[in-house]
Amino acid sequence: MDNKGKVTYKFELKDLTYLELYEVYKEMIEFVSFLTKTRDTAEVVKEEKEGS
Amino acid sequence: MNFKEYIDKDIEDKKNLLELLPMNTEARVKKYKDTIDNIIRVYQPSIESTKKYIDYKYNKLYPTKIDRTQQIEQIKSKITVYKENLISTNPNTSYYERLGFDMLIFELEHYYNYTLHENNDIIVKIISKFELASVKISAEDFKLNIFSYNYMIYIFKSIRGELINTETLKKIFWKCPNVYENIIISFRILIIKNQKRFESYLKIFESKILSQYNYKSRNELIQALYNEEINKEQLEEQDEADIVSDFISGELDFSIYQNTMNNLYGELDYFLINPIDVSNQDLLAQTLIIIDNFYQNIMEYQKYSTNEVLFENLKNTYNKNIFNLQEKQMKKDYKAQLNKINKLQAKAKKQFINKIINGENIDQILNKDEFNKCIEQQKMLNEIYIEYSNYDKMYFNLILKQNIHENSFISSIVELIVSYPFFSRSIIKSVFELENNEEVTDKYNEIFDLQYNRHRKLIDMKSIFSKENFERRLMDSYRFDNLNINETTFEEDNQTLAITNYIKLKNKLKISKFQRSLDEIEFLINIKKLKDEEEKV
Repeated sequence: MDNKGKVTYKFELKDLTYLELYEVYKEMIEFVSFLTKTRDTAEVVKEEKEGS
Repeated sequence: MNFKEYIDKDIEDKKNLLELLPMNTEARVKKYKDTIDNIIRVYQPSIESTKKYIDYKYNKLYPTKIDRTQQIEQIKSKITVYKENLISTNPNTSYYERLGFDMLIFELEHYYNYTLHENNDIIVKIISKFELASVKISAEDFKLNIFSYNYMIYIFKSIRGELINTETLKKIFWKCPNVYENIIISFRILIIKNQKRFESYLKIFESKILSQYNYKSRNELIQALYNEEINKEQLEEQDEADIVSDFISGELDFSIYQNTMNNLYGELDYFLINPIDVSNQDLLAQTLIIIDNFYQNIMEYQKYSTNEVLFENLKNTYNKNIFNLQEKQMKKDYKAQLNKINKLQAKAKKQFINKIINGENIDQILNKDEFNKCIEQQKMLNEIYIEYSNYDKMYFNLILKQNIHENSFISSIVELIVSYPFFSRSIIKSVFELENNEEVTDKYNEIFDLQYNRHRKLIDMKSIFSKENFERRLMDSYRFDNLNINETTFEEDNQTLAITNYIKLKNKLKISKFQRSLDEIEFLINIKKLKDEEEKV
């Protein structure tokens, strides 16, 4: 925890198994790809009025 | 918590967070997008450092295959020379086959399959066989028919290095479509005439070959061929780098091995009647040797069964045409046939028109009388050509009679096929309905390998005529050794299954000794897939 109360983690990639290493990398690139797509398609969502 | 667990949770949290963000106004959508950009910005360095680490690991683990193509090609060339030497020193054949006259004449008989240039090459090759035995021949030796004589004048000119006009050769062919057949007749006269010279050349050649390699007998030559084949197999044997590369490329299915490596000797259940104690190293080694032998037998059986139809064809020919004939009478008939041919040849030679064709005079070369004389002579030559074909058939029938007996094994048929390609190639072509010469050569080579197979066993066990179930005999002998072989093992699908199980067992034993772990191999496969996908994008 730093002096502002924010928790930081220190990870070592070497602590991961080969499978975990592959999976975490794959998850991250898939997540970024998902985010990019979401951002590019984001638009205003009109709220539906109750009873209408 | 490790990095993976942290990221799993973080991704979930971030997704939940994004779901909660309102997007009902332009400003809120902008904020939503800014939030996403921030997340991406945070993730980018992690992705880059992970990628860097993965690349480092991947490159460290990636197999470096050793290219052994050149060494293998060198051994293949050696094997080809040994095989040629085995043909030239085959004690079961005559000078005609040993010098390769049979195959060259066979090729020239099928002149219509080749270009003019290729046919000329075949003729030059036949002439070179005479040169080997120091028999000097010239166009003068072809004074049988005006057109074949003139064709050969051009051939000898080209051998001397003189430029020849192939248009003239084409004109000769159009004028006399039997020209190659007439040349063959002249060659056959010359080959028979010089038999003794060829035989003494081959005697010297054989001792020269043996002393060149310092061999005492032809058997040592066969052994040398086997040794080279062992060397070739060792070079072709897949090592760790080869197998791992095949896993990465998908040529080998890794999942099959990944799921069964914990049961290293699992395939033994397929091969054995009773399970063995695999911790007993001696028993295990002994069992693996028996399975190795069985694998070689199955491979031989596979080659045998795919060619069974050919062996049956020769067997039926024997039963139909030869079985009831007496060898003494066959020899007499064979000799009489040659006398008949000689008489016909002497008669045909008298009709020879000794004129030189220069290309331009071809249409006026014969006057009316000579033209008629030539037509009459060609009829005689055609008859001689057919009689030579009958002579060849009688020769092969005699060979079959002398080599196939009531108690002979398939190996005798295989040996005849290999020794007499002149006959066997025609039979191969018709039995397997093959279109081109390459396919016939491949099939012939397959049978050659069956003959000179150092693991050869079955073709020496299988009788040609007896109805004895040799699969049963083989089965019994293996059952003594605890091998679970039954009659269905020899069915086509089961042959493949046995081979697959054997290869799997062998690969598993190799993989168990690999420096790379299964996890590392799986990592390589997964990362390669990712890299391929990245490349696509």
